Amino acid sequence: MPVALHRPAEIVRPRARPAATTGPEDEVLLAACRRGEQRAMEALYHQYKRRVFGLCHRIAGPTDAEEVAQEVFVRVFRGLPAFRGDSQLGTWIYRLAVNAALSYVAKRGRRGEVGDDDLERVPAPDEARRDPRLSERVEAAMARLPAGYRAILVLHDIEGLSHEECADILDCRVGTSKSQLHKARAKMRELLGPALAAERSAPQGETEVDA
Amino acid sequence: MTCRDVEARLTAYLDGELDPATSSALRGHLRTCAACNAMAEDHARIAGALAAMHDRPLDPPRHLYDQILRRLGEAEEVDARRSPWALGARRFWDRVRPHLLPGAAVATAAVLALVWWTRDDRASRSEPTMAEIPPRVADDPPAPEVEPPVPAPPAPPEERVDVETALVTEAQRIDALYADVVEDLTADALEERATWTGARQRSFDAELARLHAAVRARPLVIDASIRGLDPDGDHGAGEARERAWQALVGFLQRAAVGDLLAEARR
Repeated sequence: MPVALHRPAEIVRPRARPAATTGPEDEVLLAACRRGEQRAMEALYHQYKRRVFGLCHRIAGPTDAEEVAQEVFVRVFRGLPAFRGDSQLGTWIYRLAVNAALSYVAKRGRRGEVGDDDLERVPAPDEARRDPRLSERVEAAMARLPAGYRAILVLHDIEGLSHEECADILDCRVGTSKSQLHKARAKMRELLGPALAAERSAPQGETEVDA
Repeated sequence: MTCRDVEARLTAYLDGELDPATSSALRGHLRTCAACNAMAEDHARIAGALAAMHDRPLDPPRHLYDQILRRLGEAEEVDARRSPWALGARRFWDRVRPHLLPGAAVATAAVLALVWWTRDDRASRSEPTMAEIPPRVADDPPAPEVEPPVPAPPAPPEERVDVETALVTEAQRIDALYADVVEDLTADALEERATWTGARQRSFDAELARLHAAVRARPLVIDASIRGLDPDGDHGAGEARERAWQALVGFLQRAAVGDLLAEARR
C-alpha cells in the first residue's frame, strides 16, 4: 500500500458574500429613483458602481469598460419603473451588466477575446520561472478566454455568487452553470500551465500567490 | 476512484459541494496520485487568485456618473420627440422586456415581433396613413395598393372630411383598445409564464410571436365599410385584423388564467 505521498489540496471554501437583497431600505431608494430623485439615483449608482464596472472591465476589457458601464446604468435607471422586485435588485443589475458586456463583446467580434492591445503579455513557457505574480498571470489568462467563460468565472469565482444566482443571471440551468465553470477552469489551467508548474516546483514560502 | 472521476468532480470538490463520502474518496486518491494532486493544487491556486481579485475592486472613473446622466437626458429627449403611438409602445415594451431575456432565441423572435409591431411614427414609412386612404366605392374588389382617389358618395366637402375623420378616429380607437387589452393580458400571462418549464415557455413564445405577426400582416385599412357606415360593403380587411386581435387576446387569456382554471377544477 503506497504511503500517503501528497497533502491533498485544500478545499477553497466559497467566500460568504452577502447576496444583494432587496430590503426595505432598498424599496425606499428604488421608489425615490423611480420618481427621478437625483440623490437617490446617485446613491444607487454608488452602491453598485464597483460591481458593475468591475464586471464590465473583466468581461468586455479595459478599453470598453466605461462605455459598457454607462450603458448598464442607463438601462438600470430606464428599466427601474418596470423592475417588479420579483428578483433581487442585485441579481437584476448583475444580469443587465452581464448581458450588456456579452452583447458588446459579441458585436465587437474577435471570438470574445479581449483585444491584443489590452492583453497583458503572457510570458512564454521558458520565461515561466518562479513568477510570484500569479494574479497578473491569471488576469492575462482570463483575457484570452471566450467571453462566456469569463462571465461565469467573474460571477462565481470573483464575485462569489452561488450557482443558483449565476444560473439566474445567465438565464441557464444550474447544471449548465456548473459545467460552464468546470470548462472555464479547465481552460484557465491549460492557459496557465507553465506558470503553475513553476509555482509547484517552488519551495513553500518563497512565492507569493497573490499581490 | 479513478483519475477520470477525480477530474470530473474536482470543481465541485473545491467548492465544497461534494458529499462527505465522495470527498473522502477523492482525497484518498489525491494522497496517492501525484498528477491529480498537482491538478487539484493548480485549480485551488487559480480559484484563490480569482477570489483575491474581489478584494481589489475596480473603481470607475469619476466622470462616469455625469456621462450616465447625459445619456439619460438624451434618451428622454428622444422620448419627447416620439409620437404618442410610440410612447404607448414604450410602455408596453417596458412591461414585457424584463421577462424576455436575451438568452432564448425564440424569445428574441417574440421581442422582434413586438418591436416591429410597435414601430414609431407610421407616417415616416411608405405605407399610406389613415387619412390618405380614400373611401372605396362599395362594390370595388379589395385592391392591394392604394387606388387613385375615387369619387366619394356625393357630399359637401366639409361633410366628407368629417366622415374621413370619424373613420380614422374610430378605427384607431378600436385598434388601440385591442392593443391596451393585449398589453394588460400580456403582463398577466408573463407572470404565469415565469412559473413554467423552459419547453413550455419556448412554445408560448413561438405562438405569441406568430399571433403578433398575424396582426401585423393585416394592416389597418380604412374604408367606407368599416363600423357599419356601409353595412353591405366588404368587411374583409377590417374584420380580418379584428379576428387576428381576438386570436391573440384569447391566447393570452388562456395563458393568464388557464392554470388557475385547471387548479380550480381539481
